[in-house]
Amino acid sequence: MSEAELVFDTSMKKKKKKSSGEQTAQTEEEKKKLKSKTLAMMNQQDEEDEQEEKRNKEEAAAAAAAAEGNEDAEEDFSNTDFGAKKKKKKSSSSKESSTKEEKETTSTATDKVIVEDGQLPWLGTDRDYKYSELTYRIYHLLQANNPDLISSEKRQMKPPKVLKDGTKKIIWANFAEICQILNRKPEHVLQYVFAELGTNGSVDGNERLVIRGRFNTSQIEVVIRHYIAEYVACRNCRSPNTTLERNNRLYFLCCNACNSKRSVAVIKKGMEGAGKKQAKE
Amino acid sequence: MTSIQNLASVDPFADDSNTGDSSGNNYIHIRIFQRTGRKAVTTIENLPKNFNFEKVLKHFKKSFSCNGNIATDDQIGKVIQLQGDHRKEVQNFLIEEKISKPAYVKIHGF
Repeated sequence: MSEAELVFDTSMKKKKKKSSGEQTAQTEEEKKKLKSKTLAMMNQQDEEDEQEEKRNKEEAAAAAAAAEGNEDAEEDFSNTDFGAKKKKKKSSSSKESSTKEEKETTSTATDKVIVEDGQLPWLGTDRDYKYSELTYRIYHLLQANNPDLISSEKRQMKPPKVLKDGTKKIIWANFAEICQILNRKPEHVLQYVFAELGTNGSVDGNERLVIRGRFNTSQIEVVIRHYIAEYVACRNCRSPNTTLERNNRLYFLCCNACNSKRSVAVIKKGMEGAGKKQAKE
Repeated sequence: MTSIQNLASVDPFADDSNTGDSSGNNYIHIRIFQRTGRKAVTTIENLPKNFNFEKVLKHFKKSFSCNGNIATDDQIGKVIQLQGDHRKEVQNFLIEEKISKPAYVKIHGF
Protein backbone atom coordinates (compact mmCIF):
# COMPACT_ATOMS: atom_id res chain seq x y z
CA MET A 1 0.00 0.00 0.00
CA SER A 2 2.70 2.39 0.98
CA GLU A 3 4.54 1.80 -2.26
CA ALA A 4 1.52 2.46 -4.24
CA GLU A 5 0.93 5.61 -2.35
CA LEU A 6 4.46 6.62 -2.87
CA VAL A 7 4.22 6.05 -6.56
CA PHE A 8 1.04 7.94 -6.67
CA ASP A 9 2.61 10.76 -4.77
CA THR A 10 5.59 10.99 -7.06
CA SER A 11 3.43 11.14 -10.09
CA MET A 12 1.44 13.86 -8.47
CA LYS A 13 4.58 15.75 -7.70
CA LYS A 14 5.82 15.36 -11.22
CA LYS A 15 2.62 16.64 -12.60
CA LYS A 16 2.63 19.51 -10.25
CA LYS A 17 6.15 20.31 -11.21
CA LYS A 18 5.32 20.28 -14.83
CA SER A 19 2.28 22.32 -14.40
CA SER A 20 4.00 24.88 -12.25
CA GLY A 21 7.42 25.04 -13.89
CA GLU A 22 6.86 24.61 -17.57
CA GLN A 23 3.44 26.01 -17.84
CA THR A 24 4.43 29.58 -18.49
CA ALA A 25 6.77 28.74 -21.32
CA GLN A 26 4.38 26.23 -22.81
CA THR A 27 1.40 28.46 -22.65
CA GLU A 28 3.22 31.25 -24.36
CA GLU A 29 4.33 28.96 -27.13
CA GLU A 30 0.86 27.54 -27.41
CA LYS A 31 -0.67 30.93 -27.54
CA LYS A 32 1.61 31.98 -30.34
CA LYS A 33 0.85 28.85 -32.26
CA LEU A 34 -2.82 29.20 -31.70
CA LYS A 35 -2.78 32.80 -32.80
CA SER A 36 -0.98 32.07 -36.02
CA LYS A 37 -3.22 29.12 -36.63
CA THR A 38 -6.38 31.01 -35.99
CA LEU A 39 -5.21 33.87 -38.15
CA ALA A 40 -4.54 31.55 -41.04
CA MET A 41 -7.83 29.83 -40.49
CA MET A 42 -9.63 33.13 -40.31
CA ASN A 43 -8.16 34.22 -43.62
CA GLN A 44 -9.08 30.97 -45.25
CA GLN A 45 -12.47 31.07 -43.74
CA ASP A 46 -13.07 34.59 -44.91
CA GLU A 47 -12.21 33.64 -48.44
CA GLU A 48 -14.41 30.61 -48.28
CA ASP A 49 -17.20 32.65 -46.83
CA GLU A 50 -16.96 35.16 -49.62
CA GLN A 51 -17.03 32.47 -52.23
CA GLU A 52 -19.90 30.83 -50.48
CA GLU A 53 -21.87 34.00 -50.35
CA LYS A 54 -21.21 34.72 -54.00
CA ARG A 55 -22.33 31.26 -54.93
CA ASN A 56 -25.39 31.57 -52.76
CA LYS A 57 -26.33 34.86 -54.33
CA GLU A 58 -25.91 33.50 -57.82
CA GLU A 59 -27.92 30.46 -57.04
CA ALA A 60 -30.63 32.42 -55.37
CA ALA A 61 -30.88 34.70 -58.38
CA ALA A 62 -31.04 31.74 -60.72
CA ALA A 63 -33.66 30.09 -58.57
CA ALA A 64 -35.73 33.26 -58.52
CA ALA A 65 -35.48 33.57 -62.27
CA ALA A 66 -36.48 29.96 -62.65
CA ALA A 67 -39.36 30.33 -60.24
CA GLU A 68 -40.97 32.98 -62.42
CA GLY A 69 -41.58 30.49 -65.13
CA ASN A 70 -42.83 27.94 -62.67
CA GLU A 71 -45.72 29.76 -61.10
CA ASP A 72 -48.46 27.40 -62.12
CA ALA A 73 -46.45 24.28 -61.51
CA GLU A 74 -48.57 21.22 -61.08
CA GLU A 75 -48.39 18.43 -58.58
CA ASP A 76 -46.30 15.85 -60.26
CA PHE A 77 -43.98 17.90 -62.28
CA SER A 78 -43.19 20.78 -60.06
CA ASN A 79 -39.51 20.23 -60.61
CA THR A 80 -39.65 20.84 -64.31
CA ASP A 81 -39.04 24.42 -65.13
CA PHE A 82 -39.77 26.54 -68.08
CA GLY A 83 -37.07 29.08 -67.42
CA ALA A 84 -34.40 29.31 -70.06
CA LYS A 85 -31.43 29.04 -67.72
CA LYS A 86 -29.51 25.90 -67.03
CA LYS A 87 -27.80 25.24 -63.77
CA LYS A 88 -27.67 21.53 -63.64
CA LYS A 89 -23.92 21.56 -63.65
CA LYS A 90 -23.62 23.73 -60.66
CA SER A 91 -25.85 21.69 -58.43
CA SER A 92 -24.15 18.49 -59.41
CA SER A 93 -20.74 19.92 -58.67
CA SER A 94 -21.86 21.19 -55.31
CA LYS A 95 -23.32 17.78 -54.61
CA GLU A 96 -20.04 16.14 -55.37
CA SER A 97 -18.18 18.43 -53.08
CA SER A 98 -20.73 17.87 -50.37
CA THR A 99 -20.35 14.13 -50.62
CA LYS A 100 -16.63 14.52 -50.27
CA GLU A 101 -17.13 16.66 -47.24
CA GLU A 102 -19.44 14.14 -45.77
CA LYS A 103 -16.83 11.45 -46.13
CA GLU A 104 -14.37 13.62 -44.28
CA THR A 105 -16.80 14.46 -41.57
CA THR A 106 -17.46 10.85 -40.80
CA SER A 107 -13.78 10.41 -40.01
CA THR A 108 -13.08 13.68 -38.24
CA ALA A 109 -16.14 15.07 -36.59
CA THR A 110 -17.91 12.87 -34.15
CA ASP A 111 -19.71 15.28 -31.89
CA LYS A 112 -22.92 16.89 -32.99
CA VAL A 113 -23.22 20.62 -32.72
CA ILE A 114 -26.45 22.44 -32.47
CA VAL A 115 -26.15 25.90 -33.87
CA GLU A 116 -28.95 28.34 -33.57
CA ASP A 117 -29.85 30.80 -36.27
CA GLY A 118 -27.45 33.67 -36.60
CA GLN A 119 -25.41 32.60 -33.60
CA LEU A 120 -22.02 31.29 -34.55
CA PRO A 121 -20.61 29.23 -31.72
CA TRP A 122 -17.04 30.38 -32.33
CA LEU A 123 -17.85 34.07 -32.34
CA GLY A 124 -16.60 35.08 -28.91
CA THR A 125 -13.95 32.41 -28.56
CA ASP A 126 -10.43 32.03 -29.82
CA ARG A 127 -10.63 28.40 -30.82
CA ASP A 128 -10.54 26.70 -34.19
CA TYR A 129 -13.67 26.07 -36.17
CA LYS A 130 -15.03 22.60 -35.91
CA TYR A 131 -15.73 20.88 -39.17
CA SER A 132 -19.22 19.84 -38.17
CA GLU A 133 -20.06 23.43 -37.29
CA LEU A 134 -18.90 24.66 -40.67
CA THR A 135 -20.75 22.00 -42.59
CA TYR A 136 -23.84 22.74 -40.59
CA ARG A 137 -23.43 26.41 -41.41
CA ILE A 138 -23.06 25.91 -45.15
CA TYR A 139 -26.04 23.58 -45.33
CA HIS A 140 -28.09 25.93 -43.26
CA LEU A 141 -27.24 28.89 -45.47
CA LEU A 142 -27.92 26.94 -48.63
CA GLN A 143 -31.24 25.73 -47.39
CA ALA A 144 -32.26 29.13 -46.15
CA ASN A 145 -31.42 30.89 -49.38
CA ASN A 146 -32.84 28.36 -51.82
CA PRO A 147 -34.79 25.52 -50.32
CA ASP A 148 -35.47 23.75 -53.60
CA LEU A 149 -31.80 23.26 -54.42
CA ILE A 150 -31.00 20.60 -51.90
CA SER A 151 -34.18 18.60 -52.14
CA SER A 152 -34.13 18.00 -55.87
CA GLU A 153 -32.22 18.97 -58.89
CA LYS A 154 -34.17 21.17 -61.26
CA ARG A 155 -34.58 20.46 -64.89
CA GLN A 156 -35.20 23.21 -67.32
CA MET A 157 -37.50 23.30 -70.29
CA LYS A 158 -37.75 25.85 -72.99
CA PRO A 159 -41.03 27.70 -72.88
CA PRO A 160 -43.28 27.11 -75.86
CA LYS A 161 -43.60 29.99 -78.28
CA VAL A 162 -47.22 30.53 -79.08
CA LEU A 163 -48.38 32.98 -81.72
CA LYS A 164 -51.86 33.92 -82.78
CA ASP A 165 -53.06 33.21 -86.26
CA GLY A 166 -56.27 35.15 -86.56
CA THR A 167 -58.85 34.64 -83.85
CA LYS A 168 -59.46 30.94 -84.21
CA LYS A 169 -56.04 29.42 -84.61
CA ILE A 170 -52.72 29.55 -82.82
CA ILE A 171 -49.25 28.66 -83.99
CA TRP A 172 -46.85 26.83 -81.76
CA ALA A 173 -43.60 28.04 -83.27
CA ASN A 174 -40.92 25.96 -81.52
CA PHE A 175 -42.82 22.71 -81.60
CA ALA A 176 -40.10 20.74 -83.42
CA GLU A 177 -37.47 22.07 -81.06
CA ILE A 178 -39.40 20.99 -77.99
CA CYS A 179 -39.96 17.54 -79.46
CA GLN A 180 -36.24 17.30 -79.99
CA ILE A 181 -35.51 18.30 -76.41
CA LEU A 182 -37.95 15.71 -75.13
CA ASN A 183 -36.49 13.13 -77.54
CA ARG A 184 -39.93 12.17 -78.79
CA LYS A 185 -41.38 11.86 -82.24
CA PRO A 186 -43.35 14.95 -83.28
CA GLU A 187 -46.27 12.72 -84.32
CA HIS A 188 -46.59 11.32 -80.84
CA VAL A 189 -46.48 14.72 -79.18
CA LEU A 190 -48.90 16.10 -81.73
CA GLN A 191 -51.34 13.27 -81.13
CA TYR A 192 -51.21 13.83 -77.39
CA VAL A 193 -51.62 17.59 -77.65
CA PHE A 194 -54.65 17.31 -79.90
CA ALA A 195 -56.23 14.63 -77.74
CA GLU A 196 -55.69 16.68 -74.60
CA LEU A 197 -56.94 19.92 -76.00
CA GLY A 198 -59.84 18.29 -77.82
CA THR A 199 -59.02 20.03 -81.07
CA ASN A 200 -57.15 19.33 -84.26
CA GLY A 201 -54.62 21.06 -86.43
CA SER A 202 -51.65 20.49 -88.63
CA VAL A 203 -47.93 21.01 -89.02
CA ASP A 204 -47.08 23.79 -91.46
CA GLY A 205 -44.10 24.16 -93.78
CA ASN A 206 -41.72 25.56 -91.18
CA GLU A 207 -42.41 22.66 -88.81
CA ARG A 208 -44.65 24.82 -86.72
CA LEU A 209 -47.80 23.40 -85.24
CA VAL A 210 -51.08 25.06 -86.09
CA ILE A 211 -53.74 24.34 -83.50
CA ARG A 212 -57.37 25.19 -83.91
CA GLY A 213 -58.80 27.02 -80.95
CA ARG A 214 -57.50 29.74 -78.69
CA PHE A 215 -54.79 28.81 -76.25
CA ASN A 216 -52.04 30.77 -74.63
CA THR A 217 -48.51 29.93 -73.60
CA SER A 218 -49.36 28.88 -70.07
CA GLN A 219 -52.05 26.51 -71.27
CA ILE A 220 -49.69 24.83 -73.71
CA GLU A 221 -47.14 24.67 -70.93
CA VAL A 222 -49.52 22.70 -68.74
CA VAL A 223 -50.08 20.24 -71.56
CA ILE A 224 -46.33 19.79 -72.03
CA ARG A 225 -45.94 19.26 -68.34
CA HIS A 226 -48.55 16.53 -68.38
CA TYR A 227 -46.91 14.98 -71.40
CA ILE A 228 -43.56 14.90 -69.66
CA ALA A 229 -45.06 13.34 -66.56
CA GLU A 230 -46.80 10.68 -68.59
CA TYR A 231 -44.43 9.91 -71.46
CA VAL A 232 -40.97 11.32 -70.74
CA ALA A 233 -39.99 11.21 -67.10
CA CYS A 234 -38.92 7.94 -65.55
CA ARG A 235 -41.19 6.96 -62.67
CA ASN A 236 -38.38 5.55 -60.62
CA CYS A 237 -35.54 8.00 -60.96
CA ARG A 238 -37.38 10.97 -62.51
CA SER A 239 -34.77 11.21 -65.18
CA PRO A 240 -35.89 12.64 -68.50
CA ASN A 241 -33.27 10.57 -70.28
CA THR A 242 -35.70 8.01 -71.66
CA THR A 243 -36.77 6.47 -74.91
CA LEU A 244 -40.18 5.38 -76.10
CA GLU A 245 -40.22 1.95 -77.70
CA ARG A 246 -43.00 0.19 -79.44
CA ASN A 247 -43.41 -3.51 -78.70
CA ASN A 248 -46.37 -5.62 -79.78
CA ARG A 249 -48.52 -2.58 -80.43
CA LEU A 250 -47.78 -1.26 -76.94
CA TYR A 251 -45.58 1.64 -76.01
CA PHE A 252 -42.91 1.13 -73.40
CA LEU A 253 -40.93 3.84 -71.70
CA CYS A 254 -37.33 2.79 -71.21
CA CYS A 255 -35.11 4.77 -68.90
CA ASN A 256 -31.53 5.17 -70.03
CA ALA A 257 -30.38 6.18 -66.58
CA CYS A 258 -31.76 3.39 -64.40
CA ASN A 259 -32.78 0.87 -67.06
CA SER A 260 -36.32 0.57 -65.82
CA LYS A 261 -39.15 -0.13 -68.21
CA ARG A 262 -42.82 0.58 -67.94
CA SER A 263 -45.77 0.58 -70.22
CA VAL A 264 -47.47 3.85 -70.96
CA ALA A 265 -51.08 4.61 -71.68
CA VAL A 266 -52.30 4.73 -75.22
CA ILE A 267 -53.28 8.21 -76.27
CA LYS A 268 -57.04 8.23 -76.28
CA LYS A 269 -59.19 10.92 -77.66
CA GLY A 270 -62.30 11.86 -75.86
CA MET A 271 -65.68 11.84 -77.47
CA GLU A 272 -64.89 13.52 -80.70
CA GLY A 273 -66.65 16.73 -81.44
CA ALA A 274 -68.71 16.43 -78.30
CA GLY A 275 -72.05 18.09 -78.71
CA LYS A 276 -71.41 19.01 -82.31
CA LYS A 277 -72.54 15.68 -83.64
CA GLN A 278 -75.65 15.76 -81.55
CA ALA A 279 -76.53 19.18 -82.82
CA LYS A 280 -76.17 18.13 -86.44
CA GLU A 281 -78.18 14.96 -86.16
CA MET B 1 -53.94 -27.77 -43.20
CA THR B 2 -53.06 -24.18 -42.71
CA SER B 3 -53.33 -22.12 -45.82
CA ILE B 4 -50.63 -19.57 -46.50
CA GLN B 5 -52.64 -16.43 -46.37
CA ASN B 6 -49.78 -14.07 -46.81
CA LEU B 7 -49.31 -15.08 -50.38
CA ALA B 8 -52.92 -14.49 -51.25
CA SER B 9 -53.06 -10.94 -49.95
CA VAL B 10 -51.63 -9.38 -53.09
CA ASP B 11 -53.01 -10.25 -56.46
CA PRO B 12 -50.08 -10.10 -58.85
CA PHE B 13 -52.37 -9.78 -61.82
CA ALA B 14 -54.39 -6.88 -60.50
CA ASP B 15 -53.90 -3.43 -61.94
CA ASP B 16 -51.01 -1.70 -60.31
CA SER B 17 -52.26 1.64 -59.15
CA ASN B 18 -48.76 3.06 -59.25
CA THR B 19 -48.18 2.51 -62.91
CA GLY B 20 -50.45 5.40 -63.79
CA ASP B 21 -51.77 3.58 -66.80
CA SER B 22 -54.82 5.57 -67.71
CA SER B 23 -56.11 2.89 -70.03
CA GLY B 24 -57.48 1.11 -66.97
CA ASN B 25 -61.21 1.00 -66.59
CA ASN B 26 -61.54 2.74 -63.27
CA TYR B 27 -60.35 6.13 -64.41
CA ILE B 28 -62.90 8.87 -64.79
CA HIS B 29 -61.88 11.26 -67.51
CA ILE B 30 -62.92 14.87 -67.35
CA ARG B 31 -62.28 16.68 -70.60
CA ILE B 32 -62.88 20.11 -71.97
CA PHE B 33 -63.67 21.23 -75.49
CA GLN B 34 -63.43 24.78 -76.64
CA ARG B 35 -66.37 26.37 -78.32
CA THR B 36 -66.85 29.80 -79.74
CA GLY B 37 -65.28 32.60 -77.78
CA ARG B 38 -64.90 31.91 -74.11
CA LYS B 39 -67.41 29.09 -74.10
CA ALA B 40 -66.50 25.54 -73.40
CA VAL B 41 -68.04 22.11 -72.90
CA THR B 42 -67.04 19.75 -70.11
CA THR B 43 -67.44 16.03 -70.61
CA ILE B 44 -67.30 13.33 -67.96
CA GLU B 45 -66.45 9.89 -69.25
CA ASN B 46 -66.31 6.50 -67.66
CA LEU B 47 -68.53 7.22 -64.71
CA PRO B 48 -69.34 3.94 -62.91
CA LYS B 49 -72.34 2.35 -64.56
CA ASN B 50 -74.26 1.70 -61.36
CA PHE B 51 -75.07 5.37 -61.01
CA ASN B 52 -78.25 6.94 -62.21
CA PHE B 53 -76.83 9.26 -64.82
CA GLU B 54 -79.96 11.38 -64.96
CA LYS B 55 -79.79 12.09 -61.26
CA VAL B 56 -76.11 12.94 -61.38
CA LEU B 57 -76.69 15.24 -64.33
CA LYS B 58 -79.55 16.94 -62.57
CA HIS B 59 -77.36 17.58 -59.57
CA PHE B 60 -74.62 18.97 -61.76
CA LYS B 61 -77.03 21.23 -63.60
CA LYS B 62 -78.47 22.56 -60.36
CA SER B 63 -75.27 23.08 -58.46
CA PHE B 64 -73.22 24.51 -61.32
CA SER B 65 -76.23 26.34 -62.81
CA CYS B 66 -75.58 25.20 -66.33
CA ASN B 67 -77.26 23.01 -68.89
CA GLY B 68 -76.06 19.61 -69.91
CA ASN B 69 -77.08 16.32 -71.40
CA ILE B 70 -76.15 12.67 -71.62
CA ALA B 71 -74.64 11.58 -74.89
CA THR B 72 -73.97 7.99 -75.82
CA ASP B 73 -70.86 7.01 -77.70
CA ASP B 74 -70.34 3.65 -79.33
CA GLN B 75 -67.00 3.04 -77.71
CA ILE B 76 -67.02 5.12 -74.57
CA GLY B 77 -70.64 4.64 -73.58
CA LYS B 78 -72.58 7.24 -71.70
CA VAL B 79 -70.96 10.63 -71.44
CA ILE B 80 -72.22 13.54 -69.39
CA GLN B 81 -71.80 16.88 -71.11
CA LEU B 82 -71.98 20.16 -69.30
CA GLN B 83 -71.96 23.64 -70.70
CA GLY B 84 -69.04 25.62 -69.45
CA ASP B 85 -65.76 24.77 -67.79
CA HIS B 86 -66.65 22.79 -64.66
CA ARG B 87 -63.70 20.47 -64.47
CA LYS B 88 -62.57 21.43 -60.98
CA GLU B 89 -66.08 21.38 -59.57
CA VAL B 90 -66.82 17.98 -61.07
CA GLN B 91 -63.58 16.63 -59.67
CA ASN B 92 -64.37 17.97 -56.22
CA PHE B 93 -67.85 16.45 -56.40
CA LEU B 94 -66.53 13.04 -57.41
CA ILE B 95 -63.99 13.02 -54.61
CA GLU B 96 -66.23 14.45 -51.91
CA GLU B 97 -69.03 12.02 -52.65
CA LYS B 98 -66.45 9.24 -52.70
CA ILE B 99 -67.45 8.14 -56.15
CA SER B 100 -63.79 7.97 -57.03
CA LYS B 101 -60.40 8.49 -55.49
CA PRO B 102 -58.33 11.54 -56.41
CA ALA B 103 -55.81 9.37 -58.22
CA TYR B 104 -58.51 7.96 -60.46
CA VAL B 105 -59.98 11.23 -61.64
CA LYS B 106 -58.11 12.49 -64.66
CA ILE B 107 -58.51 16.03 -65.79
CA HIS B 108 -57.54 16.57 -69.40
CA GLY B 109 -56.92 19.72 -71.30
CA PHE B 110 -55.00 22.79 -70.35
